[in-house]
Amino acid sequence: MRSFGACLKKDWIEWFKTGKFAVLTGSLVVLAIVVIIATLYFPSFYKFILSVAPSGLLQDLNTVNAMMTDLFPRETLASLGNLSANMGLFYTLIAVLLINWLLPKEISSGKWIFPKAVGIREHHLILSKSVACGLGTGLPAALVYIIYYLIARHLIADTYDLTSVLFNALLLFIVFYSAASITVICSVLYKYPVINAVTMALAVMILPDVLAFISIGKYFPTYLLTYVYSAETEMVDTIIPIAELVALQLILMFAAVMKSRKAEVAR
Amino acid sequence: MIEIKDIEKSFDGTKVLKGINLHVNKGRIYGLIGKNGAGKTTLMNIISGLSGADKGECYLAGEKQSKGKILKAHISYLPDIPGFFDYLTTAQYLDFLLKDLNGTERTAKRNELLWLVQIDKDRKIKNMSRGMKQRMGIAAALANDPEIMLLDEPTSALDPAGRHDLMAFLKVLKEQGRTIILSTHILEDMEKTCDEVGFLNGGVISRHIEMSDLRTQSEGYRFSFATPVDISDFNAQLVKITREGELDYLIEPLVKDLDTQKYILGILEQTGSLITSVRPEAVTLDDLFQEELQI
Repeated sequence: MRSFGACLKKDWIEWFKTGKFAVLTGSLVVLAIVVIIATLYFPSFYKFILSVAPSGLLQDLNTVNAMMTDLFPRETLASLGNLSANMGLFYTLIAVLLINWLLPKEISSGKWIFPKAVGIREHHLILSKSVACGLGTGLPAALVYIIYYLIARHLIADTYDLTSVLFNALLLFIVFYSAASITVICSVLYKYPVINAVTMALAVMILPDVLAFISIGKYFPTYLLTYVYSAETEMVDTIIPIAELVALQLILMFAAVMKSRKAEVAR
Repeated sequence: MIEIKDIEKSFDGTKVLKGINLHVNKGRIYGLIGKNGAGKTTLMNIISGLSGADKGECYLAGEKQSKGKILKAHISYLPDIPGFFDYLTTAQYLDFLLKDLNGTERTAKRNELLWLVQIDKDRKIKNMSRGMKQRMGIAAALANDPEIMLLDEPTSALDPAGRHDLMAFLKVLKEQGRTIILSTHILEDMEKTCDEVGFLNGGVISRHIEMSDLRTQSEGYRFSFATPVDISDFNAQLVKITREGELDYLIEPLVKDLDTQKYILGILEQTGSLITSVRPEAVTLDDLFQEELQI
């Protein structure tokens, strides 16, 4: 336990000292601000454009207005769906790019030699990195989601309830924690880490929307994001996807530890 | 303490180690010499457990070593370019390695290690020079209080003063009963520090030298004279004289006693020529290295 605790402390220090916390939290805050500003001010901006636009453009602008009203609805339920969908798109990409190369670089640059001499093993190093990156990615997402609701409900129509918001925040935490954790674990499994980065990014960015059209899609882990985007209400439907995420991480962790133990040290 | 039998290792079909046999007793410093790519680092990786041998056996303190195994005997390995989690400070990094100690003990041990290598505790590792990182590597290598230490080019990034201090420090570690295998290209350091030396050539230890034997192998003196001299009549039982030039002679006493010394002084007096220089002459590791590798 001491070995894992020491590794986790070290990885947590890395999360803050190397700017990953700042970048990820900052990106979420920017995303939230962009969403709320677009929601609040696009109609005013649109009216201004109407007042100065040539008559020939009016029909196009009305089409744009309809589209923007759909994209940035002025009510909390849909607005939160909007925020979480943008998180799934942009936040995931940033997180994957930040963490995908951490372990491969540690291994290739011989940073595990001294820790292994004092009894720290591969599973300590991989698990602690996945937990630190998972917490560092999942917690800000959940917190920003909650804070966004607490502020937005005073600015636009409140059509949601706090319990559902907290539950969705928990799901977002689980999804982004798992995405980060699986990215870290799988970076050890792939010979070329860039393939891992692409796979993870595409899985989280695209699969939820694709699987939403298939009836069995709700049994995949990506359903958790669909649940949040669409403000679903059947909480029990999240049990199987959550269990799958946990099982997936355990299986991948086992494979990653086995592979790293067999790998030859760089000459 | 270290017993290696018939170790073989190949990479991508190329056999690097072709049957290494090595024995190092406890409390000795063993030097490993070889050209770049001879397999020194590969051998150290196998001894440390970072890599596995294709064939052969390695025993450390009587326990068989294999890849990834944690032995009872504490072993540490200092690679030529040590890797650190360089977002940590020196104190944080050593605290991480000293995880098994309790708070006060850990702090005391950490401070002791930093004092040994003369590095400040709040220094950020990423801002350290290569030489400082090398010293930090020594501190890290001592964190587990090792009985066996493997040092791969530990002086490569150090200035002459740093090298001198490290070599002296290794002797202190040896006196503490630690067994050390050291590789370095600076043969002068090896001559001063090692008890025995092995030449890694062609995938095997092709030559083994006890440094105590080397130091007594030849202790002649090279004399240079102001004018040409002729030393053709001498007692070949006591002295070996080699003419190396018109003005230069190598005189090697074959018997080391006071009478031989007096005899040599008598020969020199008989020349009637002014001696312009006297230089001690001994076989060096460099001589043997070049001879072994036929340079």
